Amino acid sequence: MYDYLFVWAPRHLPSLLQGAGVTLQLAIISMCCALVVGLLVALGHLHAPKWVRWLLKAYVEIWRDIPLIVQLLVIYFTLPQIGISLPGFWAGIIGLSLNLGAYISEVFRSAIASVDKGQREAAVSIGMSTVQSYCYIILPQALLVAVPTIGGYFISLLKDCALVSFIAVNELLRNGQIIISSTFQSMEVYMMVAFIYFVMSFTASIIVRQVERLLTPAYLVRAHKRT
Amino acid sequence: MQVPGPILTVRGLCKSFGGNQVLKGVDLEVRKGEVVMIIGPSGSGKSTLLRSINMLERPTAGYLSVNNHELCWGTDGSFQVAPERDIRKVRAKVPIVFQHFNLFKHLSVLENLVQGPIHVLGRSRKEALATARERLAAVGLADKGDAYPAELSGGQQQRVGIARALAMHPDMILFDEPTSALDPELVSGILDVIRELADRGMTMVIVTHEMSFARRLGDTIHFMEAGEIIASGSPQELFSGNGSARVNAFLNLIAPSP
Ligand SMILES: Nc1ncnc2c1ncn2[C@@H]1O[C@H](COP(=O)(O)OP(=O)(O)O)[C@@H](O)[C@H]1O
Ligand SMILES: [Mg+2]
Repeated sequence: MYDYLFVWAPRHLPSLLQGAGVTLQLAIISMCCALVVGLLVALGHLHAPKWVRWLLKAYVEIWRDIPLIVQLLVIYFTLPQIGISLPGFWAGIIGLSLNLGAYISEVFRSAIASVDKGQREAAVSIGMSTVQSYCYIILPQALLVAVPTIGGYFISLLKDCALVSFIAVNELLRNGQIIISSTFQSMEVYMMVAFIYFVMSFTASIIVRQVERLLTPAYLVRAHKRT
Repeated sequence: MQVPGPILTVRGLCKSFGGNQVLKGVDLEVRKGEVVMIIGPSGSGKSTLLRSINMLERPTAGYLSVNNHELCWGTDGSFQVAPERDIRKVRAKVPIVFQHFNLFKHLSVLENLVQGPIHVLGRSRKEALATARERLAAVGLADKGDAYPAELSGGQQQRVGIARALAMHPDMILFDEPTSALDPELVSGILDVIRELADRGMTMVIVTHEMSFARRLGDTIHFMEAGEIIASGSPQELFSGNGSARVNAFLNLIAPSP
């Protein structure tokens, strides 16, 4: 026990933490891209010409029907065939973003649909353009609806990043496996990996809740206090 | 294109939803400072007419000009609509007060009032806030600037709706049944606010079921049925009982004479 905590762990922890850093980068960059993809797809569903809408629908359907790990492998091994050679890290970002983007587009779509159409009418009737009505009136309200679900997706994403180890990205899980291949201490290493994942996810869920609270409009907070 | 004339000119305006023709050639003129009432049975196209004036609904034929700006013209084959940019500019000057208020739910009352002036009229935030406070005071809600719509009564929300329209420095305000969603005891307060606006010379087109209000405040009353204005005149003319049998039947139904 003493050896484990004070000799073994300090030797391998840096490598694991460095892997955790890569996992975090994957998650954060992918999340940002997925939000952009999801928003554009949702707006496309509502405003684009019919053939574009059809394509977007196909994208969402296909990406949700194929396991993420298979998507990652396809991207990682197909892109070089057509002359695009990407490091695993960026192939992973593309795979994770497109996958999560498909789910998030549906979240945005229903969140936007949940905003009363009178809101858009009031905005447009005083002369706002469609873009302005989205920026100032519709999206702020839709976002409030979407944040809890999207926060949940972020925590799932953090864990799904482990799948990227299959395409040779040295993130947390893969760094763990590399240590195992030289030390053969599977149990000890996997325990530490598990613990680091737990700390990351737990922290993320606290942050998500904090963000939710920050975005809650003052009147809802007041109403909550009154009851 | 500039054309001299009344603040609102509607000629032969038509609107269809799919195959359903809701406006069948409406003619209407409103002069500056005039208060025009539109009455008629439910489903007759009153809201559609009002929304068309603001171009919230796109007419399918006919002529419409607001404050000397032509918004659409021509008949079926040659029907044309003004460019989007021009339409937005006009809209800003003829805001609608909605039956269900449609206040921006995520914004405080003051923020509701400054959105249009800042983003559409291009005023500075400071100036917009000053105007907003003044308009809010005019509808009797000076102390509610920081409240959110959900924290207000229906009557207060509609006052904010009116203040939001006033904050746009409007040429004309369109009211679509402004008291129909209110509890009975709150109706008269809103009607008083509208009356004050009339006293100060605001041009208004008001769709309403409040007959005594229409009668007392309206300069002109139009009676709409099945997509057409079938009778128009001063309150005396329309309420005299000497007009069309159809109008009398409606008035008797909604407010039976003693
Ligand atoms: N967006 C719409 N799509 C289809 N039909 C509509 C729409 N808006 C209104 N209508 C129809 O137009 C008719 C007139 O409606 P409206 O203008 O709301 O009447 P009013 O305000 O006089 O009660 C109704 O038959 C209604 O069903
Ligand atoms: Mg109506």
